[in-house]
Amino acid sequence: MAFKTGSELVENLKVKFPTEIFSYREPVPEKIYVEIRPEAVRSIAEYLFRGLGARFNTIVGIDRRPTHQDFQTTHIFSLDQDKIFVLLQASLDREQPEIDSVTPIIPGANWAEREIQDLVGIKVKGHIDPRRLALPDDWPENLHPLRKDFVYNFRPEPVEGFAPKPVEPPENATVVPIGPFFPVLEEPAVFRVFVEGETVVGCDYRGFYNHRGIEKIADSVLTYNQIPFIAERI
Amino acid sequence: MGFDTVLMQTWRIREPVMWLCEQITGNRKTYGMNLIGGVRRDITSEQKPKILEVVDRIEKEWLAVIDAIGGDTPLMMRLKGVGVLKHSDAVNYCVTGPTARGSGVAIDSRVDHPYCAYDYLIPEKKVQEGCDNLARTLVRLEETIESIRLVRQGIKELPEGPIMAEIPEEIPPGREGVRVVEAPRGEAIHYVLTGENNRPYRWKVRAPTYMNLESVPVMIQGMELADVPIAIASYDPCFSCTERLEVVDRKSGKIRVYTNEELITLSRKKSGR
Repeated sequence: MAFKTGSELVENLKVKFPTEIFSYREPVPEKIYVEIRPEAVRSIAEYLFRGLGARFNTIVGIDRRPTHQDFQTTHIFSLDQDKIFVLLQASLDREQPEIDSVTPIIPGANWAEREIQDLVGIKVKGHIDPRRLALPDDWPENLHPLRKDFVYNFRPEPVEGFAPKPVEPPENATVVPIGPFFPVLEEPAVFRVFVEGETVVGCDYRGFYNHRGIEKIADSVLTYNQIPFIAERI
Repeated sequence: MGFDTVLMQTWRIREPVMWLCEQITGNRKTYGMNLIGGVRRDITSEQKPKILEVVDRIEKEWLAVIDAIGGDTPLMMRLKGVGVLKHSDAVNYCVTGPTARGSGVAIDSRVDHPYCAYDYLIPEKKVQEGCDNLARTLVRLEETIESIRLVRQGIKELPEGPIMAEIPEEIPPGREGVRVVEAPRGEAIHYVLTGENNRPYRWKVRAPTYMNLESVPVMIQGMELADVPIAIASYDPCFSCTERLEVVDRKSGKIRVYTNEELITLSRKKSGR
C-alpha cells in the first residue's frame, strides 16, 4: 500500500481506528504527528508494523507536567517506501503514567520501552522483560533522571555490597561471560553467553555502564549552539 | 579473528583520510563542524585537488584489499554461514544500516529520507541476501567504493555560496522535529521538542548500534562459541573516543595517567607534524 502524503495515511488509519485517533497535524511534509488514545497504542502499532510494513524507530518519553500536566510518549515509525514518518503521541496520566508494551508485536521495541521505564518513569504494561536497562541496579526506586523535577547533577549514594541478580542459565548450560571489557566494544558491556558444550543456547546482555546522561544535560545546561558538539561525541 | 594483516592494511589506507580531515576541520575525529544552520568551515579550492588525489589512491588500494580477502579461504570459512540474522529477524528487531542490508532489508536513510545534499548525490543501496557475517562484510566493502564515488561527485559539483544560514530570532518553544541520518553503522535518529531559555525541552537520540546490539541474542542462538566474538564484531559496535590513557607498569604497579595535551603532543611527534 503506498501513500502519497501523510494525511492520506491518517485517513487510512482513521477508517481502521475511528475512535482511537483524536487529531493529527503535519507541520512539515512527510512528518505526521498523530494524537492517539493511549490504550490503542498496541493495536495501531501492530497495524502499522504488520499491515503497512512500517519500521519502528524508537520511543520518546517526555515529562510534560510543567507545561501540559501530563506525560507523553511518542512512538516513531517510518514508512521507508513512502518517505513518511508517523509519530504516535499519547498523553498519559500525571500521577500514574503507564502505557501498553508493543514488544510482543515488535521485538525491537524491547530496549526503548525499558529505557523510558527507567529514565522517565513511565510504566510499560505487559513487557516481557521489565528489568533495568539504562539505570544501575542499585539506583533508588522511583527516581527517574529525565523527569523535570530531577536536578541534572544529583548523584544518589551507591549501595555498598550490592550485586544484581543474574539471569539463570537454562538447565545443563554453562555461562561464558564475554566482557565486561571487550576489545571491540566501546564501553564495558557483558554478554553472558549460555552454552551447552560449544553451542550457544542463550544470551543475556547488560550494558549502559557508561551512560552519560547527555539528553539530561542538553535540556538543563546546554544551549542550542553547544548541543551539536556534544551530539558528535555520542 | 587473528586476521591482523588486513586490519593494519586498512588502517594504513585510512590514515591519509585522517590527515585530510585534520586539514579541513582541524581535528582527526571529532570535527566540531556542524552548527544550527550550517557548517563552520568551507572547503578551499586548494583542498579540492588534494582530496581527489587521496580518494584516487584509496580506491586503488581498497580494490586491492577486496581482491586479496576474497581469495582468502580461512577467512571465508569464518564468515560464510556464520552469525546468521534471518531476514524476518532483521525486520522484527528493526536493525539498521549494513546489519539490515546484509540481511536483505533494503533501507538507507540517505535514499529513503533524503537530507542535506542527498537530493543531488544519490547513493546506491548496497544490499546482500546472505544474512551472515560475509554479507555484512561485503555490504561494507561495496559501500566504501560507493562513498568514494559520492565524494568525487560532491567535490566536482560543489556549488559556491554561504555555508551558514542566519537564524534571525530565537527558536520558539513547543516545536517538534524528527530526523534520521545515515551513519556508517546505520541510522541515527534525533527527536527535538523545543523549549524555553534557548535550549530543548527534550532531546532524544537513538544511535544505530542501539538497535543492532538488541538483535545479538537472536543471531548467536545455536552458534559455536568461538564464532560469537566475530559475529558481535561484524555489527561493528563503535569504539568511542576516550580523553585520557592510563599506563600501568606491571612490575612496579606504578600508574601514570596521560592527559589530553600529552597525548596530542605524543601523537604529533609520532606522525612528524
